[in-house]
Amino acid sequence: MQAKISARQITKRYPVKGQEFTALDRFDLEVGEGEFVCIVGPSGCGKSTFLRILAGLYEPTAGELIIRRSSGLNGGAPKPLNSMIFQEYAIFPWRTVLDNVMFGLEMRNVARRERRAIANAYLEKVGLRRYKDRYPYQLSGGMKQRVSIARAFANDPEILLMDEPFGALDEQTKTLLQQELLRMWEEDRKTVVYITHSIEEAILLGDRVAVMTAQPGRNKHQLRVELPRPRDPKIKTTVRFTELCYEVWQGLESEVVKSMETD
Amino acid sequence: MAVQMRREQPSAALADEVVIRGSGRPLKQSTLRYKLLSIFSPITVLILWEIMVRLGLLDYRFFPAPTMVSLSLAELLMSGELTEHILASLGRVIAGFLLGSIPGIVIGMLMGWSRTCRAIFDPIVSATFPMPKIALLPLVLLIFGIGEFSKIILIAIGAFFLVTINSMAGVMNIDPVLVEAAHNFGARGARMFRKVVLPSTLPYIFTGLRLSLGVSLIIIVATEFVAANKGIGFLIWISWQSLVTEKMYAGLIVIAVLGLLFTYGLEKLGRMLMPWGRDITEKTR
Repeated sequence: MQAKISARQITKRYPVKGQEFTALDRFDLEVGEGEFVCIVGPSGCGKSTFLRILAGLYEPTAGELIIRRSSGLNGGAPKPLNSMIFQEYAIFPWRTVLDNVMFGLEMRNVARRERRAIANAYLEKVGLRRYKDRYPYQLSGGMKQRVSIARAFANDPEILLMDEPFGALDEQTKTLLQQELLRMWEEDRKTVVYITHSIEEAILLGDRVAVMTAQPGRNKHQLRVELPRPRDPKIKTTVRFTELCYEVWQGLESEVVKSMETD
Repeated sequence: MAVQMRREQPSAALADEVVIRGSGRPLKQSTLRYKLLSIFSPITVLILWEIMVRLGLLDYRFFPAPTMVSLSLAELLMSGELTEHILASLGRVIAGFLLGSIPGIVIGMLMGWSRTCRAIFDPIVSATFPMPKIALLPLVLLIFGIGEFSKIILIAIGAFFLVTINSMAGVMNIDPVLVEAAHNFGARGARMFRKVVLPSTLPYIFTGLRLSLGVSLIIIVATEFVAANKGIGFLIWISWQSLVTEKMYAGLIVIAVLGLLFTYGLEKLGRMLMPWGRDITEKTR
């Protein structure tokens, strides 16, 4: 089977104060169709940079990225290649909840009635139907991130890119949203690349976990999470879960120490 | 809250426990008191003023009593003289304000969005902005003559800079993650501008408009002092020269009321255009 995403030797350098800063160094990643891959790494390791390269927001300095389309090939309607969910929510303060969720559809010129119906359906799924006419300033952090999730899912992309989406939320809200995300993902099992610094989260959600080194980001190691699906937070109580967490930590520990030394 | 130290042993130096009980006091709204205070304080000042003039403690030629000022204001209104002055000033302010702020919004936003535009315009704007615009009056009169247009131009210059600088700041302060998100969801070019850049900049534009309205009023009064035969500034000036101080005070009141109405109207318009903006407008206020 061909990979959905193959990133080979991706390198990203920036000029910072006249010097070259290497964010990513020859990073490789393959993601299969319908696979949920989590990338874990110490802070500042360039994992967000990699995701933005996947999203087409940044250009890599070197390397090759291939993303294989699976929609719109035989006359069908093409889907957007990817939609991103940001840590900072990135929902538009001047749009109501409903208008935020419709944004991607609006940009794709989907008819008004249709985009309203789609957005309403996803708002229902994230439990925000009642709040559809509110503005973001009237919402809590967890609700804002639900809007962002609904916006990405409503856009129906081939790939979902998530950049530490629950990083800023409290533990309880986070657990709840992880559960909601898993439930929504199970419905159509889109390809997902998910950035996190939480090992537990990576094991709970992912089919595979890729560990990155401290800056500059390189491949450290990868492991397959063969826990059964559908999953829910109860899986955290199993011995296998704890063993996997420890396995990831073993690879990560020295990198976290390194990243703290360079600070 | 009632705090009570209970001593189990009367001879002990320290209390064994600290007991805090609810006071049972009813919750009452105390805001009314403050509202009444802020209504009564200016009224008190006016009453004191009136009394002092009547008692001869204040010279009525410099400080005409509030009743005298109100009378003169009523007279000016009845005769239609005041309306004429107000309309003259209002016309100049609105024309100059529009003439200055519309290009200000466009150029300011361009400067915020494109580094090239910023490199071109920033030195010119930065160099001329700190100059008091009133200082340009003789130059403007020299170029455009003592007509309506020179007054309008001067107001336009004053409004232009404040709106330009605030619009630029607005575009430069757009949350980059919102632009990234919009880009990721397919917004490009004109739609990126209309759906993201413009609404995000709007609160800053309004700050610029509000500031430049204040400046416009200063400029109109000052120019009418010296180069007009109609307008509120002219009314104040001529009343001073002929020592009809109640009329001068009437003029001052009118200009204050105009300023208040402008600010209020702009705020209403802002709230209408930015219903999302409780937190945003407060941040830029």
